[in-house]
Amino acid sequence: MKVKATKWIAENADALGAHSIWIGEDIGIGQDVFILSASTLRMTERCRVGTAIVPVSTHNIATLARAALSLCDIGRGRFVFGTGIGGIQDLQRLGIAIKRPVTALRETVLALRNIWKGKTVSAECEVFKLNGFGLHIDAVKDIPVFLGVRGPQMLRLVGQIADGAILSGPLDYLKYATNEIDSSARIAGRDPEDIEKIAWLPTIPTFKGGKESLAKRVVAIVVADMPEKILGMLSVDEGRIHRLRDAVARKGPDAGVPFVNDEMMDMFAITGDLLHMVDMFEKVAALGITEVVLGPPFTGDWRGAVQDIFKEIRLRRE
Amino acid sequence: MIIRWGVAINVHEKLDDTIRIAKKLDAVGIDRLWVVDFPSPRFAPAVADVVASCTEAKIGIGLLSAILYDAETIGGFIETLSDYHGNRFDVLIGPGDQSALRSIGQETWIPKEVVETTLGTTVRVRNLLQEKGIEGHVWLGAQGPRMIDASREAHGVLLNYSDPMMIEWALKQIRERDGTHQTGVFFPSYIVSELADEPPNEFLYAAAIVALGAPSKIIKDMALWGISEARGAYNRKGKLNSAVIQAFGTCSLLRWGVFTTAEGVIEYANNLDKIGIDEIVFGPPISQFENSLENLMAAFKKSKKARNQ
Repeated sequence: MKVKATKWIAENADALGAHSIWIGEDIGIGQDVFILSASTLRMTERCRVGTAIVPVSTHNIATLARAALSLCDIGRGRFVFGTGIGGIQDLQRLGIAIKRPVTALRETVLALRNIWKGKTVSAECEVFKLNGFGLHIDAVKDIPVFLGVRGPQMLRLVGQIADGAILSGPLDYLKYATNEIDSSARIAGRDPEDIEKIAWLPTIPTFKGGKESLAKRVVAIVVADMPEKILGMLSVDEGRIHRLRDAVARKGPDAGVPFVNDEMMDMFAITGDLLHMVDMFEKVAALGITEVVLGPPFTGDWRGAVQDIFKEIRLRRE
Repeated sequence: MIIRWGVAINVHEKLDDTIRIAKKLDAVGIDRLWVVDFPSPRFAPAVADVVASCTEAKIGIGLLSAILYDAETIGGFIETLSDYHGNRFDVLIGPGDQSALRSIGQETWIPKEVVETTLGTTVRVRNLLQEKGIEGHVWLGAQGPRMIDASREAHGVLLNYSDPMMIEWALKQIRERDGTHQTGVFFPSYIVSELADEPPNEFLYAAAIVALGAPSKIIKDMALWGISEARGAYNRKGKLNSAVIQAFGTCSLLRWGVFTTAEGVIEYANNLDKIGIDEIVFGPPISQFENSLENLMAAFKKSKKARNQ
């Protein structure tokens, strides 16, 4: 997104009543995710700001530790460190193959938490190696760690060690995901209520000129990145799904767009007129989701759409 | 020519202190604030965003290690910062601190490859910024002759030396400089009220780090054999500790940083101006000691007044 757009979001988020702003990383393109997070924290006072997500596979762990510490300071505790292994498509494009992603993510989160406590860490796994590394700081307040994940083992990991999950997928999947997380939390002796569940679906306000083609592109990415096991749970045209995934793997997200039909759009995105969209947000919230994310893709008069949506949500709460 | 003054911030201070110091330096009109990166605990690009939002000074980011960040990432930092705050940013690239990088998994250190990677990244960042129409300068941080000479591929070189004789040695390593190539110096610094004061341990350690990084060519060319024992002690211990500091000796370490009074630093700056240095950057531990910073600011204000007359 261009600076003009991200600045507008930051400047208006508090007044709109947004609880959080979530910032994704487009690896190698667009604004630097950490500087964008810093500037967004600077321009807001109440809103929480989180990365969603910064992959552990593409940054040195010391960079993640230092960036998160800096953002925690800048935001005076309003920063959430959202991380994950990274999207399948992105990792394939970069030639990165993680053999044991759950272990890699677990070890990284545990190492980061120790670093933020002011400890000196010696540990290693597939994605990092630390030899007596520490930030030499006084122990800081816990920085919340949310995991952007999809598969069952990753969902269970959230229940075990994370403060929240960033989820995307159809409603059936979201219900399944929240159940997996809660169940895993109970087994780990944690209260499921302590773990936030953020749902981030492509949103296209067609009532304000939103471009469906861009939304289809985002849906193509979500479907391409969805683990096979999860897709197997859904009542979708399997053949179509596989052709989409094959096309995206070979030629990128745009190649998957022709395979995204209305059924997939309804399943993987929130779209339509104002009232329908807010009805869908409420439906998602009823699945045990604690926060629903609006956007991207940001097309048409998206600023107007955002304002109308927040206004409608406020009206329904009164 | 009027030599520019810069100060390194975000070394180990808390963020609030970094901001406070940046504003103070900005208020006296310092030419550039250099926001330091790894092994500082705080991430320079994010800190630079906040510093830029509350100051008007030019800002340098770095030293950014070419071993830690690739060219596209570094270019992305400068581009994003420039999008938010305008064309105010320069970047300093170098290999980085070898032992600090070892602690985060960068264990292989083949000097030839390190130099090639650093130079490659520097040139690529320069080209990326040029393609995007960003005016920021790309500086190469250097101590060794090959890197110093190769800085002709960058907009300039920041030499990790403070002793004028060593600086003149370094300048001779650059073949065929063109008129646009900038030279600067970056060194540990501590400015005192009286020379009778003892340098703090933080200064001695910072100076020792610089001395330990000195290339064998300068040791040979300038007969700096006195530091051989200390370098040997460091190699045996594998870490910098009080025994290594003692092996150096305070007198020896004073050649690897600037420890002087406000009047002394004005004279020092004027001398460097005469030998063709464009920018002096006062490095750690100065930003960690309020009195030292005040002394430096007093010196800068006096120097600025003289330059405006």
